[in-house]
Amino acid sequence: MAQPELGDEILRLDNLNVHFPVKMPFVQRLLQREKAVVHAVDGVSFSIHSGEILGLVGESGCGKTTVGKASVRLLNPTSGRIFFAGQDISKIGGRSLRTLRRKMQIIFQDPHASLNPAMAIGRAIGHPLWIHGSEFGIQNLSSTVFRERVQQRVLSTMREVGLTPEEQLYDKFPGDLSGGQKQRAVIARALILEPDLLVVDEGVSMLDMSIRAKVLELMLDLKRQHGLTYLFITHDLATAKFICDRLAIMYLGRIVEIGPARDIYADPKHPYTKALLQVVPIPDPDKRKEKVLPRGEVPDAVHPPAGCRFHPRCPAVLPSCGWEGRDFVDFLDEHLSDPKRAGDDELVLGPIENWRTNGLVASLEAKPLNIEEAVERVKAVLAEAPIAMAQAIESVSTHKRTVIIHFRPPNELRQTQVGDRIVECLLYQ
Amino acid sequence: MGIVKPAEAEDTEKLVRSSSSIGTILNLLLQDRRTLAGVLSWVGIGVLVSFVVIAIFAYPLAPYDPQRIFLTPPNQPPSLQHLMGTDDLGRDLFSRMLYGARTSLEIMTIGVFLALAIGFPIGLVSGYLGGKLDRVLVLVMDSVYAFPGLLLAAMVALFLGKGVFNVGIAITVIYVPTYFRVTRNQTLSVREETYVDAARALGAGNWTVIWSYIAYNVLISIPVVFSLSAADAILTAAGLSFLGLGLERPTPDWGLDLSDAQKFLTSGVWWSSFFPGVMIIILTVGLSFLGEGLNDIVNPLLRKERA
Repeated sequence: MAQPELGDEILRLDNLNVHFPVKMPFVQRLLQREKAVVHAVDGVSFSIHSGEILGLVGESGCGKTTVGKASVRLLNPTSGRIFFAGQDISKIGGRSLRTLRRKMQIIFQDPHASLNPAMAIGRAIGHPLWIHGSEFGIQNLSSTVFRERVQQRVLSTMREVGLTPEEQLYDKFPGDLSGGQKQRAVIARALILEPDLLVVDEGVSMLDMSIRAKVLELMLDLKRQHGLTYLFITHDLATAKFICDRLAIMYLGRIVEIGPARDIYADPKHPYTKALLQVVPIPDPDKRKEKVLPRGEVPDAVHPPAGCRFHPRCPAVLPSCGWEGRDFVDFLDEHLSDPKRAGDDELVLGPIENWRTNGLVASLEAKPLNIEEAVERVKAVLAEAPIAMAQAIESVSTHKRTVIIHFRPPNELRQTQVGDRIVECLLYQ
Repeated sequence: MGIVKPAEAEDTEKLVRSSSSIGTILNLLLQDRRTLAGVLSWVGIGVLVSFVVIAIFAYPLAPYDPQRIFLTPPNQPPSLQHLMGTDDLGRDLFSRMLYGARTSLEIMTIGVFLALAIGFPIGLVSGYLGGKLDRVLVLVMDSVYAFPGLLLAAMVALFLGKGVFNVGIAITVIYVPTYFRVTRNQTLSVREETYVDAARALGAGNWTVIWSYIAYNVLISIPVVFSLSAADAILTAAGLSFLGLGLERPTPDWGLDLSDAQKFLTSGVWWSSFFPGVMIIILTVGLSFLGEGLNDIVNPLLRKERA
């Protein structure tokens, strides 16, 4: 990653983890030894420099919103550190945190939900000034003077974000405004405090295409005029391409690739980035690309896959990517659910619930007399499995009446510098 | 891809467009005049308003002083001179009924407003802050709530003594948990709204968030509880007086009059029991209509707002 001047660093996340406990019934909680947690964000590190727009891109549920909320401390990090302008803010709270919020603002996806329905627009936009009144020298001003100054600031900010005619809209309620106007109001509210960092969480994805472009241009204008720095969270690569200087691609709580946006678009390194970019439609019927969409669903973040989290869906997967027992069971489940391919495999290898997995091992206590057949069937199923998975298997053995599948331990996954970006993939290690 | 707004979303926006929750409810009341809920609410409002008018103008409306004892034989049946007859002491029942409205509404107002003034803020704070404080408050409030209302009120009234204000306090004790629960539940759902997160991100402290961002949006669920608990309060107040724990004689009070009149029922004196009972029923039923009607009108709104 290019590191220009380090003094310019606005936000730095250092191995940030945010885990959420899984809610479960009391009895189950007592019985379970380990606490189940959702690994929403698992070891994310990046930094944003002044005047930069960093795009955080990923599918729904990959933890990008959690990163955004944790960056402005709306969520508490489980571990890891957050630095804002050089100051460690991961543990601060109370007044010092509230004072700091002036410098970092967040804009949410849904402009309608972000505005208090019972607060008029002008008051909503000016409210941050009231909240931070003491820092604007409210003690030295009479309340009428302060009120007037707030109103002037609100009106000029409304003009600046294109929320006009501002005098008329001042007393309107959020319900009276259109979606684009509401998002402009939200931007005005964030901007009135003159923050250094603006986290935009899917800030335009609920707007119509025509309004979206205008709001994005507004954001770019404001960046130029105020020297703003953005953390721009989106699932939409087309939007990210339009606005971002650098991109961080996130998958299941981890950043898999981060680097200059132009380079990533021109030559994606990580297989997941490639897959994502292939989903972006190209407005040219002759340039139809072959789509290699990732197979299957995003896995469960309570038990993320071992090794590289993308390996069960990866088109370029290697035998050393982190295959383990449950990957085989998942594949077998898929296999058995297709009667054409499965035949009577179910009788020997099923039901799927009888399989036990423990890390690199998957095992099945076979029914009497057909242990040999079970091994044969497992081998037959493996012949159809992804080659990388089949190659990752060290042995298929038997112990008494149990079929045991052993996987080879994966190679250690490290973040690797490739050119001026960082990729987390064994292909580049 | 543009987001197509479903028709229902626009509907909701129209519904919640008005500035204040009270304004929203009034708008809805005007819109829903023809539905059952609307009719019920308007009947309830009519009853409540007429009783308030009666209470305020009891002096010019009543033909006699409610305490004046006529020296004709007591227990006169209704006639042109005494529209509802006279009671066992020879007082004009009609006048006593009009002044009784004043007593009832006074007690109701004190009780219900105090309960609101205590239960609403505690519910807000408890629901927003959560944690141990919330658990303790819920436990305390639920214990009070689990107590039979009249019994609890009787105990408090016995402890405090008689009088309009004391009965009001006794009723407050019963309804604080009701307001607490409603407010707390609503706060729990409003707390999860994005605009509350947004307010926190702006740097607002807990009090600012509670006051400027939550309180107003919780207030919308209060009028329903308000009417229903007011109806209940009238009954409880009458019950306390009937049991001899409420007001001091000779204050004109429906419950008290009912209590005094019942022993003459067997000798055919029906009017002195009938009219206080009817007054209690009309006011209670009116307030219940208002509560139920508002409930039907406001709840779909709450549902839509959350969706």
